[in-house]
Amino acid sequence: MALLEIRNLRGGIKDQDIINGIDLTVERGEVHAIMGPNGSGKSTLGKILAGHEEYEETGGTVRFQNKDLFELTPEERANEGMFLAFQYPVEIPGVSNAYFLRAAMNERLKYRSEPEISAGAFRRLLDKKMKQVDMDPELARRPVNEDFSGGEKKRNEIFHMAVLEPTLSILDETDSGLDIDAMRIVAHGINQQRTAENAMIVITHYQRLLDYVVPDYVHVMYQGRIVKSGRKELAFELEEKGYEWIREEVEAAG
Amino acid sequence: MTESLKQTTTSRYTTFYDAYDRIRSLDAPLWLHRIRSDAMKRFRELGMPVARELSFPLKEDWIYTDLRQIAETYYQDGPGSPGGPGRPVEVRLDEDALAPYEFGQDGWHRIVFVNGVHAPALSHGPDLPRGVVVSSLADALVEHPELVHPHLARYADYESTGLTALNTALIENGLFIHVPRAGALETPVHVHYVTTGLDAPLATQPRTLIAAGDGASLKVVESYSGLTDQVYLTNAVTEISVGRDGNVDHYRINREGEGAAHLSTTQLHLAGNGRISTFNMSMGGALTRNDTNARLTGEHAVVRMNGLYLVAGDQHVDNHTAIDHAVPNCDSYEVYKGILEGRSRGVFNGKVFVHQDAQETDAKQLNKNLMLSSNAMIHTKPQLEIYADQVKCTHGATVGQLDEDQIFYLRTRGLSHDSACHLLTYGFAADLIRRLGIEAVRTSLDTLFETTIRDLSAARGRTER
Ligand SMILES: Nc1ncnc2c1ncn2[C@@H]1O[C@H](COP(=O)(O)OP(=O)(O)OP(=O)(O)O)[C@@H](O)[C@H]1O
Ligand SMILES: [Mg+2]
Repeated sequence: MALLEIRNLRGGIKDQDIINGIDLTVERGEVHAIMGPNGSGKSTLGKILAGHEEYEETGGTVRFQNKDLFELTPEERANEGMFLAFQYPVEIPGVSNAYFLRAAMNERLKYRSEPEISAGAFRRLLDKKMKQVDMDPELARRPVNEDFSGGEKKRNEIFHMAVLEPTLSILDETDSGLDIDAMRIVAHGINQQRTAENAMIVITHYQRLLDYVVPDYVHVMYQGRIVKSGRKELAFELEEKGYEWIREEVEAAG
Repeated sequence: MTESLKQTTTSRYTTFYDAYDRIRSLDAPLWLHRIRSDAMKRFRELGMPVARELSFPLKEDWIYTDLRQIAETYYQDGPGSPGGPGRPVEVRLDEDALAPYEFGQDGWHRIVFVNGVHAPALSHGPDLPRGVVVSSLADALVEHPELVHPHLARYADYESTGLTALNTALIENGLFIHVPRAGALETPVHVHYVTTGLDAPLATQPRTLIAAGDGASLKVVESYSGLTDQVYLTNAVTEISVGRDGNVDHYRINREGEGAAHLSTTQLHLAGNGRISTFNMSMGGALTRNDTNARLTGEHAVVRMNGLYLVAGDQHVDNHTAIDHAVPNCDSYEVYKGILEGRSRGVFNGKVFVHQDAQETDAKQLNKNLMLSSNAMIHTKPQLEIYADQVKCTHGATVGQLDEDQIFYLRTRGLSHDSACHLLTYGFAADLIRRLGIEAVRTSLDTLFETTIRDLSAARGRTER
């Protein structure tokens, strides 16, 4: 059984589907890149998978680790091992990153009926993960994302991912807004978390990230559907030719 | 028989008039007799601020807080001399009863009043630095009247405010601190005004007087706690005066009982280059009204006036603050945050006066409110009156709910809906607590704040389901 199995998924906001029938199977150990023009529904797919209440699935099925995803609350999905790195990470004033991550960590342990992590063990874990993603310790002390720069917010998402060790990560444009060095560091952080047991869906506009985080598959999303899939070479092709030929192909197919 | 007759036939405020007669008969310096009798005269004229009976502009300040029910309650006189009719017997408390209200700190100066009566057995502290006085006001009036006289009733206005007039007329006991010029009282003082259950509603008039001389510094925490759910009244007045270059760190924690009415005036008086930080935390009581006023009378004085109110159910909390920039080059920083649950009501009114001479004033004011229930309500009103032209003054007021996107973000990291709400509520005001100067207070209030909002969200969870 695949880690994630999406069958003919439709959904969107009230009275309007944004996702119009998506099929996608993700096996453990795989990295899938999703590309596609602005407004094609990439973030919406991520939000539906993560369980945002504003979005509703109107058809199809999604199974995650052989469970019906839509039976699970957002936190249950997270505690089952799903992680969504936001395109626009949210600021949480007054709550330090470290404090918040410890709360998240303990919720996860509780979900798995494991004992809470001790303060000392958590501190050591945090130090290790901060090094892994080259995170400024000062940012761990500061309130979550509050007054972080755009790039710092993205890096913080990868830091959260590193601490929570998800089995399926959906990274929504984690590379946008990063300078060239930061991109390399973030990519390195992502690669370090690639194992045979977990998988990633990487939403991006730039082939550059995929130079570092080499995908097994590349999908192109257009008007709420995956209209083309291929290997990593497809990313080069898109980089070179843009999306016009995809549009033409779709329209030609009617 | 005569007792109940008395209760039904007495007019308003009889208790207070009787209390005044009792207190007047006690030994006291002549000047204090005069102050009390002037104040009583004013109270007879002003009464309590019952909104519909007040004239404009007084009425403005009481438009959302109605004291009628309090004005019409027949209270028992507080600190009674033994044996008088209708007066409470002294209630003895043991240490354990107070433990939950402490700041986990041995070695502080503590002074406790139970139902308005000084409890020496519960009051203690380390040796005091030379010239420093920490004692009950009653003791200070006997032992150091010359230290009390220059300050008592000099700052809190009993001419135009009925509640201050009432408290002043009935001055009997409370906390007195005096730190002389250049003195430092490093160890914090905790004054604890406790009310326990009695068979009839009790009224107390706690009076706190704190005087820091030029270059003197001190830290003080005032706690008002209720060990009962019964109806009672606390009408407190605190005066704090800080001399040139002096520094006072002040906290006021209201954990009154469910049936309590807590009325208070805190009057801060700052000389040049003086500093006062005050933090007001209101959680208890059925009805709370705090008037916190600062007067900056010398250049380069700085006042920080922060507050946090946390209310639920049918609680009502009203914070009126006034900062008076009378001279140039002073700063005032004010942040009040409120968390309102259930059908609670909140009022915030923040006045800042910048007089014509008060050039280069830097005044910042912010009031933020988090509404956890659609049935809760807040009236917030900044009132800046600026007559100088070279000033930096800003103010802002916000009223908001928990943000769905923030809740979702936290849930995608595994936090339950309730935990997410709890964390966001905590984060909303945690910065105020994190900034507190005394570590033991910071830690205790952080825990208190956390458990209180946990209870609030649990209560909400129950009503939603
Ligand atoms: N909550 C919403 N309300 C209204 N429209 C929405 C909402 N969420 C998404 N949409 C619309 O759905 C479409 C897809 O949006 P989505 O954010 O999924 O695109 P995207 O592929 O992630 O684009 P980008 O590359 O710009 O990030 C857009 O037209 C967007 O305006
Ligand atoms: Mg997007």
